[in-house]
Amino acid sequence: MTAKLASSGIEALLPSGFEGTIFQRNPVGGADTHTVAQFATFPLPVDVGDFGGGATTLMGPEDVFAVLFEYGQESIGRPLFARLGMPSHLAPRDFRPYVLRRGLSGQAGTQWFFTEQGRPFTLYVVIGAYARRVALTRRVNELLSGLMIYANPGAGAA
Amino acid sequence: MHELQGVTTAGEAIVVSMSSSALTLLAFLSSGCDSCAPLWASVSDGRERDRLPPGTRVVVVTKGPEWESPAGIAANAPRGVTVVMSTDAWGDYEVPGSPYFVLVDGRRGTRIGEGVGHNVAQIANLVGRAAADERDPGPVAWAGAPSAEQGQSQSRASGLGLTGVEREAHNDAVLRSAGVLPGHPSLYPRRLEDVFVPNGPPRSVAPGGADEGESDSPNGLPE
Repeated sequence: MTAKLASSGIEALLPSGFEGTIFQRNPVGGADTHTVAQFATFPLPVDVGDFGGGATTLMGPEDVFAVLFEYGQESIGRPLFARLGMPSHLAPRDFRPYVLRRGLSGQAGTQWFFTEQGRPFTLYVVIGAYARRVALTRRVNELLSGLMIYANPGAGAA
Repeated sequence: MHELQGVTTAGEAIVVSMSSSALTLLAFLSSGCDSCAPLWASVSDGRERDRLPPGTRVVVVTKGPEWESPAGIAANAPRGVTVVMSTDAWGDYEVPGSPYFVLVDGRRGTRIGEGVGHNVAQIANLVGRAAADERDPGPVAWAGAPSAEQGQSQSRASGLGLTGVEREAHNDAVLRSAGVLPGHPSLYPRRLEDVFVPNGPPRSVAPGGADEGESDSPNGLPE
């Protein structure tokens, strides 16, 4: 059964076995905060860091963790966000053991910066085992095929 | 098996997958029911949760913000436990009232136990029994489920993955096969003899007609 997760202009039709949440941190010290969407094939802890701190350590070798992290409008037009559109299909070779926010033995990650619908994002994905990257990349692509980003944060809200 | 789709107490969209854990214990609780109060505290107690089989995920499910105050739920919310506010989930899991627990086997995609417990320790015993019962894959109705027979019937039909209409048809077929047709006196009982076989096994009956040992609520259901 496909579950739908939608909020803040992000919509996800979750493949079987995936769960997720879409949230925005409370601003601290006047800093702006933006939308974060997290997806996982394992139980997401309650107090998980934006990029999976406290979660990726719980991953098994068959697991996937992905986050869509939005940046502020000041990032629009910067070279880092020059790519237009979220990657819709990743390849096993995109995953590297050294592309990890927190290097955990056996895991591999990939990170993409892009702009879609006038909103700057990064997509960060961790797979539980580099050795299983072919099968796990298929799971990641199942997830990506159901992700939509809308220009107006209200357009895709539940 | 139904995924939980709802919001957190902070209003964030959330989907909890039943297949992301080997065992998931869903605790359907309310902020306003007296018998839920000790359970909120019990679920909050990490030592009590540690009595559950290793790897058992506990998820508290309340009704949605249209029925419950998010701030009120947040005040009760156990630290470190996922709380999902979703009225739909109560319908999906056919929750008769609160408190109520449902144990889901994520690997099989089935509910393997359900009912009422008074604290996590009691639920832990039931979860352990249900999880260890490999020989009987049928669902288990725990003490305090709507009634022993009714609860098991509901669980059995639910275990077959039937929808409400299909379940009604299934129950009708079971009744027909037992000779209970429309108009049968047992469907309109006036005396105990209309329901129970005169020479059948003795059942103790409390004053007022309620069976001893079952729920102490008037209709046999949890609050």
